[in-house]
Amino acid sequence: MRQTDIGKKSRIAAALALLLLAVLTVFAIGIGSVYLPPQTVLRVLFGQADPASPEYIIVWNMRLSRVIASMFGGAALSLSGLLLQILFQNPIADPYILGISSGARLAVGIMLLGGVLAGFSVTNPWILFLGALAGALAVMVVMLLFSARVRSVTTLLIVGMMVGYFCSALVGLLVAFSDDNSIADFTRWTMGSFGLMTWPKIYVLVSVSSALFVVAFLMGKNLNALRMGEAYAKTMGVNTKALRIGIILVSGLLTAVVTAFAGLVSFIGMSVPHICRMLLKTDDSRALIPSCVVCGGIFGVGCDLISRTVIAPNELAIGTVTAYVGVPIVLYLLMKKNKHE
Amino acid sequence: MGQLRLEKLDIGYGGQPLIRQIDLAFLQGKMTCILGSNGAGKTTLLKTIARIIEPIGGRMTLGGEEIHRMSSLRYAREVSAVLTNRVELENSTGWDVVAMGRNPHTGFFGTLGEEDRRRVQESLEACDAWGLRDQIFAKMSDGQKQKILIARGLCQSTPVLLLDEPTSHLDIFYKMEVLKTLRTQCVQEGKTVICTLHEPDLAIKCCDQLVLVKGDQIIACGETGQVVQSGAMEQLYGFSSGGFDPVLGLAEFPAGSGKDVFFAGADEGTLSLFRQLVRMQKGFAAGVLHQNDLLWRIGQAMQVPMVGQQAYLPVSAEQAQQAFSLAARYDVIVAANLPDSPLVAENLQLIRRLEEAGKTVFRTEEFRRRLAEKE
Repeated sequence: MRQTDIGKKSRIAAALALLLLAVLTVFAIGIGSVYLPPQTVLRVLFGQADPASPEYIIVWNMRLSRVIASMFGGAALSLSGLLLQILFQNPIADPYILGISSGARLAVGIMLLGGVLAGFSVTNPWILFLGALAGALAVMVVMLLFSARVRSVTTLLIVGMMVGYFCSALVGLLVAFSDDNSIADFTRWTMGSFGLMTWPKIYVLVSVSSALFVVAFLMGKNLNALRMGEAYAKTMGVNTKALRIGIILVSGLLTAVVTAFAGLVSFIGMSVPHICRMLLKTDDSRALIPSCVVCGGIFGVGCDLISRTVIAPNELAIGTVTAYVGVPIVLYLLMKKNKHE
Repeated sequence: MGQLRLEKLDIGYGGQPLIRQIDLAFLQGKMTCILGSNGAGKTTLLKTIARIIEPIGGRMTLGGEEIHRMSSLRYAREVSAVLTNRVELENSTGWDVVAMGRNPHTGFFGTLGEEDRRRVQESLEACDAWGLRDQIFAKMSDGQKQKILIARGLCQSTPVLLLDEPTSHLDIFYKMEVLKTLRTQCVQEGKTVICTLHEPDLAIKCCDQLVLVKGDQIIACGETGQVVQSGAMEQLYGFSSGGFDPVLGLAEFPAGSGKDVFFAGADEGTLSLFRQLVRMQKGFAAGVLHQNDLLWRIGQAMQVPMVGQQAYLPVSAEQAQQAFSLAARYDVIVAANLPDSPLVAENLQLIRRLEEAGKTVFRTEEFRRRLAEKE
């Protein structure tokens, strides 16, 4: 398949995916304890409903924030996964596997519970985000130090998983030591959920992740060169050191901004890039980045919808759903890949 | 574009020099081969020139300009590289991989223009790989992948092309294909090609300049013919006495040490008998052979005792006598089918004398049949 054809094909695919995302969003807003038909949802969204009406309150105060969060959260994690897969030259890399999400969660956990113990509560979403970023980058630095010494990528992934388990164990300790009603939300958050969103958090999530989508897209050409391996990228004039730092920052920021508000969300970062590669049959980052963003959005909204509807009025942790959907997909893709080889 | 020069260059990993004090000037528009045993640092040298790893000390210049002062993008327009690193692209086609080579020439988003597409096509065609353009790279054979990777290097449109072991893991057909392509690039496009090879015979056949790396230094560097004559090739591979013919670049298994067969003169069937006896680890000798005969060179590499005469001169009675005394010590004589020519009149005489002396004498063809029966 030549590049021109891919360009045409991915444009059609992009249009279809955006349409699917829009339809899914409308339905996701409509579905819940009170069902709102799509036309009602659209009427409310386009400002043709009475602000005092129950539909208006349900859409604006309850459902919309959650749908937006799951959309941008899914997109951010997918893109972070894609970038990490390119950085580590391994299709199984993702922010969850490499322990980056866990590091971010630990940092935020310490901040939140430390605050509870010290008698104040951290509510500023920017501070939560920066805390998560510190945790995410700390783990990435550890991983990079390992990757400089350990040549085997498999070993590296295992190290990442161990770092992740270690951070999770520390979070477990935090939870155990602060068994208190005031932190019910904290427990929900550690399990992973898009249901804890407030509008200020959404502003941070949307603004930061949107900016990073653009930054990642601008890195597309160099990311393509890096797909050939670092040595080849160097001979093609790419400043690989700067590019690596760029990838680390962007994927760290993306992971942090999701984890700060939604806790640990597994498998999206690994499955969505796989799905996009398979669907588009390309390695071209300039096509994969936007498609990961859109497919990640679809995946996030879909999984969140399932997590809050299957055992309503109770909720599943988002990771439960993403694992049910993500694990079979990843296994299927891996089997299919092995069959070719 | 200018000449690539290395001055007092120390190269290696982690501050540990692998090769020291390299002084080299690569011939412009020519093909240079870096030869050396495994682990000698050939790849390290190539990667240093490609700026994948930093030199430990010394200078590299291109057209008089210091290489490390050039931006990596500018250097990527001067020098491209084909490496042995595994390329893991699951969905890319031959075309996609080759088009990567345009990277240093395209704009911010890497969109290919008309000129870029033309170059991609030209490069694919130059490597006889146009038919692979729509095939998935990951599913190609090693030979096809190599063609595509070389096409990617060409597509970068640089005056200098570096190749690390471009022929390894390829069968002889593909090896020749690949080297032919590189030759064409030198001769017709004027590119400077620098490669490492594992096959000295191929290096001699296709490279204009040889650089021999042994231990931590360059033991020889120069025009191929001169390096071959200098005896550095034998030194490089550690063939102290025979075993290797530098002119042909051929290594031969040595003959056995027994006194089994003497070849009186040589004909078309003699070479295959030489090889068969070597396989059987039998010892043999020959005489009198002309020294321009291929058999002479191969016999020498096999370390076979031989009596020889200069090319185009008739075999002398003295040489025939020498051959006779040598032959006397061998069990069986194989008499060549010789023409009635003054050049080998003495050889015919030698065969008669050996028969008269009561030696067992077979004709070449007869002996070949007997060997076949025995096996």
